[in-house]
Formats: sequence, structure tokens, C-alpha cells
Amino acid sequence: MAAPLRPASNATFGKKNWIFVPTIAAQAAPTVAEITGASSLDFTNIAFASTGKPDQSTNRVTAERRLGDTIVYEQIGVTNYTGGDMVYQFDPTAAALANGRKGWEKFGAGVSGYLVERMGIAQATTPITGNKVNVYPVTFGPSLPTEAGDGETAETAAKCTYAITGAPSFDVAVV
Amino acid sequence: MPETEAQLDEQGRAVVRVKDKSTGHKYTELVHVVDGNPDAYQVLKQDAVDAAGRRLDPEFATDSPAPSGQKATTEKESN
Repeated sequence: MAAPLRPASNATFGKKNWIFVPTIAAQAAPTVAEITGASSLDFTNIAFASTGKPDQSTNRVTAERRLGDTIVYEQIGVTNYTGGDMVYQFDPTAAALANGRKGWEKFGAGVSGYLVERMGIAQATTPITGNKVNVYPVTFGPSLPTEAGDGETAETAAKCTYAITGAPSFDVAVV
Repeated sequence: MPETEAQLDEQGRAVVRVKDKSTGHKYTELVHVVDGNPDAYQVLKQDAVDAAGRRLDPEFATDSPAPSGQKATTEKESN
């Protein structure tokens, strides 16, 4: 018997992008123009590592027992896609449109759009046709100025909560 | 500065309705974002928010490119 296959690893350290895209016409087929448009924001190096990332939890439930059942089994239940708290750099001393205000001007109450995640490609590489991405439809809550870090590492920041408001699209190609 | 008078969103920020020149989509965007990159947008004479200040939903261009077909790899999964 031949040795079992072992897929090559693709490290994501330094090879991940998170991009906020305000409008995507077809979630399963985001376009290069939409992802790299003027209103999109690559916040990979704006959000702090403490930012909550999209997650998924699926219930495992025990099936309803019948009178004669002496053994019961599990079944898959509800799947819940969850957002999180985004903590991002915000410099209140920065001018409008300056880098220190990019996040503050983009995220906030009532803002809806998509979080696009690209993994396995160097983060400085501009998204192109064929790249595989995950797309999460989201809505943001209000932003609150705060600090990131503590004591000697503290710096100005802001945080806001985001919710995943629809079914995500995974492993879809940019067109 | 946009020709259209700006409206205020839920957070009290000035917004306008724009058409993104690169995608053709229409959506609501912050006034100073548009001012900072005026060549990327066409400001529209349309409402940007509803009566409660909520940003109006985007309108997608109808001539967006069709998704390209994804081809499966010819590599076999097992030897």
C-alpha cells in the first residue's frame, strides 16, 4: 500500500488579508473591482490581533428517545455564525481621511457590507482574479473610542461590534 | 465638494449617494471619503438615507462580469 497523502502546509503568518467591501453584487463571485475599489478598506494592519474573528458553532443534539429506545444517538442541530468585537487603530489627533482615521471613518453604527478574508497569499499582494476568498455579510454597531494594550503598550484605538447577517460564502473565486 | 446636499446618517455623519465608477454600483458613502477620492465616484442627486437616517441599500450594476468557471484539478487524490 502506498503511503497516505500528506498535503503541503500553507502557513498564514503574514499571508492573510481582511478587507471590508461595502458592496458586492454576487457574494459567491466578488469582483476585483469591488474588493479593490475606493470604498473598500484592507484593515489587516488596522485591526488589532484582539479583534474577534468570524466563527461558527454547530449544535450536537441527542435525538428524541422513543419508548423502546435503549440507545440514543446524536444528530447535527443548529449552526450559528457569529461575529465579534473589532478593535482597530484610531488616532483622534489625525486629520480627516488620514490613515489614523481610516477605520473610524469606515466602521460604525448602521454600516453594512462584507468582510472578505484571503489566506495563503502574501498580504502585500493585491487581490486578483482567481484568488480564493471567504465572504461574510456583516453589519456594524456603534464605534467607541478606547485603548488597545495596557500600561506601557497602550495606544489609541476604537472598538465596535459586528454581526454576521447572512450565510457566508467560503472558498469562492474572485472574478 | 459634492454638488448634492449631504444628508446625515444614524451617527450624524454627512453622507451622499454615489455611483462607484469602477464597479457601477450605487451606494451611500461618507462625504469626506468622496472628497478625498473624487475621481472614483459620481455623486448622484438621490437620497442617501431613509427617514430614520439609515443608509439606503446599495443598487448593483446590471452589467457586472459573469463568474468564471472553476476547473477541477486533474491530480488524483490517491495513488
